Amino acid sequence: MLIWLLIAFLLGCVVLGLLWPLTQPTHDGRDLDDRDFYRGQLAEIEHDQARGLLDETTAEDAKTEAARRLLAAHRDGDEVSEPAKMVIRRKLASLVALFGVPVLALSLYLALGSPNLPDQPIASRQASLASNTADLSVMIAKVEARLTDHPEDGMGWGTIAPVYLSLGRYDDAVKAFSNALHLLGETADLRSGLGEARMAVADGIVTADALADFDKALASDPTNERAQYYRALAAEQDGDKPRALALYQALYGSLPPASEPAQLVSKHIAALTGVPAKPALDVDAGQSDMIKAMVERLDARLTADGSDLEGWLKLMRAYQVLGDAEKAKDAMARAQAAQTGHPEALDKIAVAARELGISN
Amino acid sequence: MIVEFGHFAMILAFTTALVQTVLPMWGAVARDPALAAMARYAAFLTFGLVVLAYAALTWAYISSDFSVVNVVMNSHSTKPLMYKISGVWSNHEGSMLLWVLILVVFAALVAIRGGAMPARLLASVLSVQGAIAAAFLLFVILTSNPFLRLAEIPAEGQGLNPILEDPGLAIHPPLLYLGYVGFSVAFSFAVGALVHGRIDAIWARFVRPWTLLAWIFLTLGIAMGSYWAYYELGWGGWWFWDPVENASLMPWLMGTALLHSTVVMEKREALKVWTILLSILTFSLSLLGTFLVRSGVITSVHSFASDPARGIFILGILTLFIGGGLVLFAWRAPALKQGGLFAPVSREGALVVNNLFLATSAVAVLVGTLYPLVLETLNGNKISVGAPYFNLTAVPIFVALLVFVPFGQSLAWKRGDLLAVGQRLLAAFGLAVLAMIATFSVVRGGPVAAPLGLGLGVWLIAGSASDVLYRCCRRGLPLRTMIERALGMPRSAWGTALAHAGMGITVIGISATVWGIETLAIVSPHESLAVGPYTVTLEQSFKRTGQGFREDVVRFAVKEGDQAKGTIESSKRIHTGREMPTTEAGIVTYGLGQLYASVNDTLPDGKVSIRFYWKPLVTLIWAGALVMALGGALSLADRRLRIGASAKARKAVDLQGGSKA
Repeated sequence: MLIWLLIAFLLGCVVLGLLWPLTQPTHDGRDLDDRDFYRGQLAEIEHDQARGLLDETTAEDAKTEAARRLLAAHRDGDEVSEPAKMVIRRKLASLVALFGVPVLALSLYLALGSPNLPDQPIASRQASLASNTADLSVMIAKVEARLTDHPEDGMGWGTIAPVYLSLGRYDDAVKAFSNALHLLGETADLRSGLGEARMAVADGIVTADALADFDKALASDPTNERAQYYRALAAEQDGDKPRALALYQALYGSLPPASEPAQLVSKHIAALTGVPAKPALDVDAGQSDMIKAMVERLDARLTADGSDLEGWLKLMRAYQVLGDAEKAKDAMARAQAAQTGHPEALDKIAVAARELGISN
Repeated sequence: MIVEFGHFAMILAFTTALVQTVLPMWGAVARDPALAAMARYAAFLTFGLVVLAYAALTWAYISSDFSVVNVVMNSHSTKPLMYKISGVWSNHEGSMLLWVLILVVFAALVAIRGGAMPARLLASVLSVQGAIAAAFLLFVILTSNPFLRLAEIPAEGQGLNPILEDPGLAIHPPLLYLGYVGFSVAFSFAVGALVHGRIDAIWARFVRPWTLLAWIFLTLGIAMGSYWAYYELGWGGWWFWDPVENASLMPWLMGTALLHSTVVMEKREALKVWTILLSILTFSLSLLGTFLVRSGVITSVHSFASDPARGIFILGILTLFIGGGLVLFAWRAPALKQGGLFAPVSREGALVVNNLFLATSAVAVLVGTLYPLVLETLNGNKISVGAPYFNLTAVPIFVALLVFVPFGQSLAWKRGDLLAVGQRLLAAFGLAVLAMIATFSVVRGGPVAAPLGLGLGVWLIAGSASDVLYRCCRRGLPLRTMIERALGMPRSAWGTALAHAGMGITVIGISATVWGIETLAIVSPHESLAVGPYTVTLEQSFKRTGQGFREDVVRFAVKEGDQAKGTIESSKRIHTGREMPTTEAGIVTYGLGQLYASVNDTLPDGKVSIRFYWKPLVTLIWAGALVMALGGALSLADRRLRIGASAKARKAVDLQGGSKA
């Protein structure tokens, strides 16, 4: 509330300040010009001469010169505007000051300002800060202070590195991951984190450096999901769609369905295959079991009798949606085997496989 | 609340600046004294509001109010108070607000002094100042608003960057801005005169002090920036022909030309149209400098293109004011009354030559600065135009101009006698040649240019001295009279002599850099190394911690012959959580030269890889700039600014009494 009082006060002062000169009677209208200037100059010379700053000759010469220029000086037009027009102008100017200024200022401020947010000087926040030790930036400051004194603390670097990464301090993250790797030795998590940080520094491009990191991470732990994901992303960025798709699908198969990473990966798969991401991923565990049971039944039925083309296509799709690339591929192979001798059916299987991203 | 109040004040300042732009100009054109009278009031209001806004932002920094995005990004609660205050302008948003603050300070000063000015001229000048302020305030409000808030308040700021915590870096931008923005007054006066349709003695009298003031600040700002780069970057260089440096050099060159042409205008009412053009061009180069530094276009044309809002906005402002100014010039200048006449060989003629040389050198620098940007835009090639280009283009122009300076300084107004001046300068010339011969005989080898440059510096200093001596000393005069004459000499004459001598001092400092000695060595503990006249011995290397950093320090003992001359330290600093270690150069001044140590690496076996420089006379580079600024200040304090144009009267005295003062 107080802020609005202050704003109103400031506005009032400014409007009054702008209106003030309009209320003043205009002077005789003659503006200063060169004649005033040279008259002033003459007075100044006489003044200086009287104070003894100028000797006789200099002063006389200067005066002659100034007087000569005074005579030659351009007479500026003394005319002023017509009084009637001046009244109209003053009214317009008053309107601008009274309404234009407040309306423009207030509308801009309402669009950009946050009048309801109070000041938050650190002094008034000390109490709440002290109790809230979980605050991230306080913790960072503490860890940083510790690392300044103990740069050999590998765990410290390893702890702060992902925090830097999530805060967008990518250069610092690269440094922290490198230090941690150096001090703690090779681990897939740190190595893939380093790769991710390098990639972030490069504005999201998986550079050769970053890719090397991911490869190293996979060498020490082939199941590292982060490294798998970025390796696939690298292939995608390189334009190697089939490889990217294969890598994504392999990763997807190993992820729990409906988990966040799985959804991310499925989006990439969808983008690469042109098939929209499936809502089936959102199913909860119970539903998921039910679906699995249904799929298994379908599988069993088709194993017994492989003549149902639609059934095969459904099965392939089901496995693919559940993220089981291996089984989807297997289903495709079995469908092809079951449908040998039906070129049309084989075509359909191939098309579906391509759409689903099962075959390359 | 204080923050929000500041935000509102800033927005309100934009609206009053708009009023200041539109209504007084209307009043000036329509000859309506009431509207014209609004100019001063609006200028004071805009000034007061921007001060409020700036104070509110400063308060947010001092009190570490982390609900303000700008404070979070650029400050930290543990920063020393001084760097919290300087932190306000050490970032883009705050520095643009400082730019506007300085602009409105100048406008308010013009308004204060405006009582003695013709009301119509004052109204149009303040209107143009208001337009510049409004444009930049809108830029700040829409694209670089420092008052944006956060609802989720972080516990700490992120702006703990100790590399930037340096007194040099804290003072350098305000000085430079005072220079850049100061030239806006000359620009406003030029546009005002064009609108007014008249340009006369009053005009010149009022515009000169502002130009001089801006020039002094810009000179100091450039010198300061150069010294900062010298001691902070650790390469031992003091000028890199970097685009950012060129951005400040160009307005300086053009502003120096303007300074000289306003002298001609004030005293002789000549060169009017040219002075108007120079005023427009000088401020245009200042705006260009702001654009180059602030739009991100220098780092890469592509980074500019990827976040174009700011760059495009400043480019728009640039186009509006430069384009508008030049169009107005083309339209109105032919109507201006031409001024006094003068013979080609005269002080005026000399100043015209000075102007041509300075303007040409500014163009040479401009081409070298913009060419890489244009090329990158056209075909994506990133090239850099460096010292070789500038050494071949701008530097020869400087040299030619400087050779010429003592002549111009000694020539009489209106009609000069070159031969007489030549005779008077004979002694100075002899001194310069002597200095050259002496250097040639002492220093064997080395580039020929260095003794020549040294001679040039001596020539400038001796030329200035000879002018002063000629004015106040005659054979047979008693010493008392001579001193009285020297004291009675106008301060602007002393200012001219000092400024030109200062240039000479800088030239000597620059020439001497080629005699600098650079040694790169790997030194074991207690091993000695010869650096020029000094011997340095690695005394110890140790670790040290300071606030927010730890460093590996190497300390060397310095000896000249057998005489111990103290120690010199250099270090590699690693700041908490920062990627790059920084090098802290060690600098010790001996006489006019400096010993400069910059450590590369401390090797595991205790050896140290280090670079040493001995830079004779290097301090003269900056000392000269200080002397130049002092000369400018003396000239600014000249009482004749109040008396006005009495040079012609002095000329008359000259003919009769043979005395110029």
